[in-house]
Amino acid sequence: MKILQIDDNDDIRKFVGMTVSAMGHDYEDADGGREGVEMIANNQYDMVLLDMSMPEFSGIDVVNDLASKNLMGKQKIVIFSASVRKDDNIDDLLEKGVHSFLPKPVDIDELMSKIGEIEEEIK
Amino acid sequence: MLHKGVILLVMFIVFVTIIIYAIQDHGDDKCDIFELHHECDLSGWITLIYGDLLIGITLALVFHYLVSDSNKKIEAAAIKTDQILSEIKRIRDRRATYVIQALKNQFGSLLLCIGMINNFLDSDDEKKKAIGEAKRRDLDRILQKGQSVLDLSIDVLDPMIIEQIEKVFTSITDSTPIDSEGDKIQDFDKIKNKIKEITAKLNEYEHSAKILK
Repeated sequence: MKILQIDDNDDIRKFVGMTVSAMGHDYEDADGGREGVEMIANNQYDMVLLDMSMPEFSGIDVVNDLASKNLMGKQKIVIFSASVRKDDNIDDLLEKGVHSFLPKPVDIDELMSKIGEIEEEIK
Repeated sequence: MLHKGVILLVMFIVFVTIIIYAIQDHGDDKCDIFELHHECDLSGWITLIYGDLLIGITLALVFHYLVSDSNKKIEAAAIKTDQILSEIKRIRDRRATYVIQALKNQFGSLLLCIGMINNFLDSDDEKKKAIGEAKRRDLDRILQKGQSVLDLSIDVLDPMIIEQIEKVFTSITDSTPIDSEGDKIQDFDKIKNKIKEITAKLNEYEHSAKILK
């Protein structure tokens, strides 16, 4: 699978990138929402790991921007969010085509299991 | 200040003039200056009474002016104090937001890093094992960064949360002996649960801070 991660935290991108690569997938990353949208518009990814809380252009902004450009169906988007249950925008994001959520801080086992799950769906 | 000085000077001149006029000999040889008698000239008394009234009114005006001037200064000082306090609160809130976000990021990095160390060191693949070993060095850096963020949070976070975070950092350090190359981080599940518990508390803290704003 080709996986894109959009996150403003260098360490998290580094660790997720190494994990994804070690699992045998192609990995690319974007240091912020705007860069991520641009990469999605110009490339084909199977899965996007998107951080909800980013300054300036948040995960919600990314989803809204992708929805407005009809780019939501291109890939499975998994959102990293610290407050999955409390966030009022969850239903809205699911309606717009977000695949699922992973609670922050992200546990590597949960991440690997989510990637495996999506890989199965794509097959 | 000029107004006050002029008023006081006028008051003094009026006071002196009245006194001088009042004690002047009014040309009546039978009476003393302030003698009360129907045959005596009472203009000295009248002058004193009118003079006192005039001075009383002038003093009232001066005091009124001084009080209103002082009230204005107190109000201006109170507004300035409010502005300073709200600026301090704004800076403190910004610091709290930064600290909470930074700590959550550090916890995210810690959890992934420890997860990688334990998963990869457990693997049969030599390449993964090497990655796991390299991550042990990253762990120390993340812990140091977390500790410096924690130092910034002393006056913005609940001391109980700070203590819990310090305990987590210590327990990770204790679970990572320096000369134990190849060993996994001990008690990972315990550390993981503690990190998730503290992150939930930080989320609540952030949420309630937003509500209180």
